[in-house]
Amino acid sequence: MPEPLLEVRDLIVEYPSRKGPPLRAVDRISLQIGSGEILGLVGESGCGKTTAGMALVGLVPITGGDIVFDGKLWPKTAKQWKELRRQVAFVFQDPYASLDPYWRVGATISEPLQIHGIARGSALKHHAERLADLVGIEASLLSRRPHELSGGQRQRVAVARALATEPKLIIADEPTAALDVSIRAQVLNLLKELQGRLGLSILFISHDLSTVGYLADRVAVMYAGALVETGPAYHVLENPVHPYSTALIRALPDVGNFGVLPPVLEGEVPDLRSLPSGCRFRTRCALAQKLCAEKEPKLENHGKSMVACHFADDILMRK
Amino acid sequence: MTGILFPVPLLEVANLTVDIPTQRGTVHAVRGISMALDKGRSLGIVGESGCGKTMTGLALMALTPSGARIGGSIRFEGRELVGCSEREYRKLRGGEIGIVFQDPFTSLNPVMTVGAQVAEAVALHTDLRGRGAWNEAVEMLATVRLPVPHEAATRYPHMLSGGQRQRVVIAMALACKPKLLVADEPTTALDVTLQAQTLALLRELQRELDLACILISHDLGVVGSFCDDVMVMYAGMMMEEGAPKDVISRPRHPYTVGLLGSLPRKNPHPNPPPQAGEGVNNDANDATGLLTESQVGEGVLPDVLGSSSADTPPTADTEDPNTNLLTPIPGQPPSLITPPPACPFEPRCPRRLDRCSQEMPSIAHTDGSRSIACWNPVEDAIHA
Repeated sequence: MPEPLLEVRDLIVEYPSRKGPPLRAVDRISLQIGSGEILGLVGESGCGKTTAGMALVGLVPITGGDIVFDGKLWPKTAKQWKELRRQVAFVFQDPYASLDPYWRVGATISEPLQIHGIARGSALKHHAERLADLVGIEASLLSRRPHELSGGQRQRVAVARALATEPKLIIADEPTAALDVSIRAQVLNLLKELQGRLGLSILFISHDLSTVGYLADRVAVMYAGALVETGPAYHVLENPVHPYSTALIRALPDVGNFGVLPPVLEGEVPDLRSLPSGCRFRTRCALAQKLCAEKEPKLENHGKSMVACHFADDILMRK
Repeated sequence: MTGILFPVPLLEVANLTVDIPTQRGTVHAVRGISMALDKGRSLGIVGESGCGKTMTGLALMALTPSGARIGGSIRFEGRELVGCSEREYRKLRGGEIGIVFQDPFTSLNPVMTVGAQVAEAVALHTDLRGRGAWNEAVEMLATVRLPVPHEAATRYPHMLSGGQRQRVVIAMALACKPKLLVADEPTTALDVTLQAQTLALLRELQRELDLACILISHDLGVVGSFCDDVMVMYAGMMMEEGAPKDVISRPRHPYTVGLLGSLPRKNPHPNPPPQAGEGVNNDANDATGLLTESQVGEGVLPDVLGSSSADTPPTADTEDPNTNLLTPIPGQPPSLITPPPACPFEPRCPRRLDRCSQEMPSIAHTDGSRSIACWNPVEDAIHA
């Protein structure tokens, strides 16, 4: 793989807690995103995927770890954070909440250009029109306010704003979760098209495995704050190795598997303040052995994927 | 009287309408829905936001917003419900018909223990009071597989996880052994593994209690795996109805085809090469499956589901990797204040005929069990 655009090493994010030790929401995760690559970060609520995404642009403070972006170790100072945010843009989940209801769409789209001193005055309008065209909204909508737009149009506006500073990487946190199926497909196609046309890299954070499978080149599966498996999207989704990824993928009802309910993974995600010893998935894992309680598995190469499981090789052998 | 020769379905809805007056005009949320449901069966209602699926569910229990007008007929065990008094409805709700709402975080009272909330439902509809009602509540919490039910009953909702809360909501709905359960997006707020747990629980309870179930969902995967029948709604009307194996694997209404084409499938194939001669939407999908620039804008999309290619449903059970490319439905659903006079899907439909904008399609009962409201449905793959 060529030099990755973004490399995250042992990222730790802790939230202070009033009583007891801090809550470790992201526990030593390491990720790489290549230039022009879409990485899907998947997991269930509370697994730390959103926190990880926000930490990358400084929306939550980082407790430990390194962010290497474009060959440079980032960022130390407020000025460097600002520069990083010019190159890494964020698209939020809910376009009903992420756009300022008082602002006209054109102003929302061109604000980042002012913040970063890229354009001002009448040039802003020109930029806004170009961006609107890029994401497929009519220029006439630029003078409207968000409530006059449909959900799909709003999310296009959010994408246009993210693209304003010509970033190299977009972090999209569940950008389609609030949208209906037919509108969701429009936004997914837009993201895929932009990635192809502009050579963008995208970190696509989602709980929806089928969406990730459609969009992403590679996926990373998180469980209770840590990565359990990463690999090529088609490979992980069709041949998951880690017992959690396997359960997660099987839990998705398959359109076309009529009358057959998905298999059940018993139990619930453990409290992040009192994780089980060793492997954090072992309390729900059918394959758990003594070793799993004693030693935490590391993310290691197994076949085409990297898997954090002591028995990954055994699982692969049985397939 | 007719009970033996012509068994009465548990629920029979005919030409149901719901009109909701608002400041901007009357919203015609449900416009003539008919359905029938037998004991122990399950019907899934699918559609996108605002298609009227939730209002249909609420209308069954007269829980529509105040001022809303319900028309048509709802017969429950042969009894007409439209026009029933609030008192009669109170007996019915929770007693004979249970309801599970979408969000387990807002449908429980935060300052009451969950045991007390279930016991309240029990006390409302049975002779049990006090300790008796409480014991029955604990029993119900055990039925929904809540671990250590007698302890869980003493907890407040915030002390439970999302999945556990949804179990409590189901326990409340089932506390009085209803005959029909209306579940409105019961798993939407839950993660996939909890969704699988909840669906499995509902299926078990349905079998145990011989419960009829109406499952309202936007998720075709959930409905297809859970329900005996599925009804696809759009703009307050029924578009297509039948067994999931027909409606979902061989959709005939262009809207159902569009809905399925918009859905990423579970097992994707990476970058499938375009295959010449494969009939699925070759003209709409270029090599990368993306829309061309002019097609990206909403509402300006031309013929994405090209009528010639739509004869092969894009989701038929084929091994064609092209089925994994998304084909969005162009445009937006219509306003329900001024709905189109004829077929509501006509403005977005790739198969529209002149007739479609003039006359609402009559509902055709085609191959036995399937109903379609369309003047120009896709040919059935089997008979084609």
